[in-house]
Amino acid sequence: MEKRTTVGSFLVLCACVLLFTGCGGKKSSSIKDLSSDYRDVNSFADDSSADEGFGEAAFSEKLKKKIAEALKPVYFEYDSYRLTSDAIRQLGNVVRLLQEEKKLRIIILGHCDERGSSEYNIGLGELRAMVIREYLATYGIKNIRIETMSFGREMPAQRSCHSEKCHALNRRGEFKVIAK
Amino acid sequence: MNRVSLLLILSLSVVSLVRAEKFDLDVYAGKFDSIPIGVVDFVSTNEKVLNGPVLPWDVIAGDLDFCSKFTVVKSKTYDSAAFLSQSAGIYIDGDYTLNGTTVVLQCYLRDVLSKELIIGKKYKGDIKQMRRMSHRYANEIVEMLFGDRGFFESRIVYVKAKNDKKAIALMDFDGYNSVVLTKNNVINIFPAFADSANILWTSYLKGRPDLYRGSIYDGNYIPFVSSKGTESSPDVSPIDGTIAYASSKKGNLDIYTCNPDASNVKQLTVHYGVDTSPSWSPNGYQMAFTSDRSGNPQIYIMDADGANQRRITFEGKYADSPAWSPKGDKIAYMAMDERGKFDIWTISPDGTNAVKITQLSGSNEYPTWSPDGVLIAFVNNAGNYGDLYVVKPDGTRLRRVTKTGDVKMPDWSDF
Repeated sequence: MEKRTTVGSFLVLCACVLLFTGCGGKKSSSIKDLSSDYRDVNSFADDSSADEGFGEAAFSEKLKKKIAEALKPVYFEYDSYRLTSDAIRQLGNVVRLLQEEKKLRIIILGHCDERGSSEYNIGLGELRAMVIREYLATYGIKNIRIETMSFGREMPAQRSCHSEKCHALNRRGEFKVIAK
Repeated sequence: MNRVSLLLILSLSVVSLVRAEKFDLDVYAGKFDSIPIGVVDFVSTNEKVLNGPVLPWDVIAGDLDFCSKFTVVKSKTYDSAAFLSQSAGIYIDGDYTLNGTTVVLQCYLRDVLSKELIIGKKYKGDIKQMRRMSHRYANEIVEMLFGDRGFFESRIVYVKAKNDKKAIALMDFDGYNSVVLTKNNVINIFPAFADSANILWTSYLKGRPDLYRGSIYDGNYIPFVSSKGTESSPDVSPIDGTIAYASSKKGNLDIYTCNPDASNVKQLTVHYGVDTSPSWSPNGYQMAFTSDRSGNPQIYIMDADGANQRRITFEGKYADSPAWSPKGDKIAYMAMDERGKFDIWTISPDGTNAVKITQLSGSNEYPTWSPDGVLIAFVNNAGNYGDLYVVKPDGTRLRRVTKTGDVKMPDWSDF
């Protein structure tokens, strides 16, 4: 039985070879050498130094304190970029700061809670930052002094939230002073 | 090799051997939803014996089981009774020769009753590549029996997430050989294959979310599209490489397309609100996307030039991450239930036949199709942990692929 199988296999292989040489006229190699078929995957070089960031400029201690008190986050309702009355109250502090310190430039960072999708939330965070900028513009703060950016749901202030109170702390617009 | 030549070989062998009956693969394959197949442990041709961790016959058996087209019956040695008791009419055996770091694999697909050879292949390579050599043979088996390509040399690019750190990583379709591609300390999200050797993704490398393009073999990457806003969610047309993505360069996210070299930028949606997550149809004529123009995010489709925008999902209040199937007949997406958890759904492009696929507890997110369109991979999130699973669109053959707990936003490559 074993011998017959071997003979059988041999004959089938012969048939294969016949078929290939017969049809293609191409020399068929019985062994496929895969040694050069696979290339190693290479990681991208670390280029983190390219991160320009939005660091704090060199201000006096007094001004730093004033900035820190005025630039507190503004919070939003679920899946919304409408400014609440609490948010508008807080934005009053931002307006005053920017009216008094006419050389300050800021960036507004829009954030979302961790419940939705990353794709949609990066767009929602953008709208939250924009609506804050538009509000500031109504008080004469020029757009050139304000940049916007979205982190979507990628940088929560609170992680692994299980309560609405916790989620609410993540739906925010943050402010940072642009260094240069 | 196609089925015709296979049958020819079979006929030839029958003639040569004057066997009583021809083994008809077509008839055999047609009898089952998933083809029963035996897999026997390979034997060494010399005194050097493989002790793992990679055993080619286990890799081949695992592949055939994974792709959902087979029911695998494993056996240490040839056991016709065991095979036939589970209706397996064909089986795989083979041998290997170890010589230093080189391995030669001989793999055979045979008829259980006669042990007659159906297709044999012989591969040589470095022992480190033994998984891939085994995948190669499993691909041969699929191609032989189904006429379709096997996806066992495909990869999945994904976000490897730990707390706020999010890196782009690559793994084989089965979760093996994971490599972190981005070694920076910023957020990297929305990875997508541009082709088999290049990926696109969104990185905050320069502070803002811009699109980058990198070669997975050279380790080089370049800024691809950037603006004062966000660039996100790239998806590449399978027909001509045109890249669709979302950009907020005019204030809010809209969908744009550009050529593979980032030239010829066109704006497809013009709408105040969020338009994002483009996913090309396999023929390149249309794309699915997400828009909140109705008040909350829902799935829409439009032509490749932005014409004929129309909504296709109406159930629920939150749908995103559409993924158009390679066969074109379905769009997979994730939709949120009243508890705030996502599940994977499929829907026909005309908006009919919305079906929920996933039953797993936790949130089921980010569908991506296997290259052959037979499986949907997705991430199951339980707490902070995300792992990759695959499932057939009918909800069967659910399989957990990773156990690392750090997988988000997978994108499955082409074959």
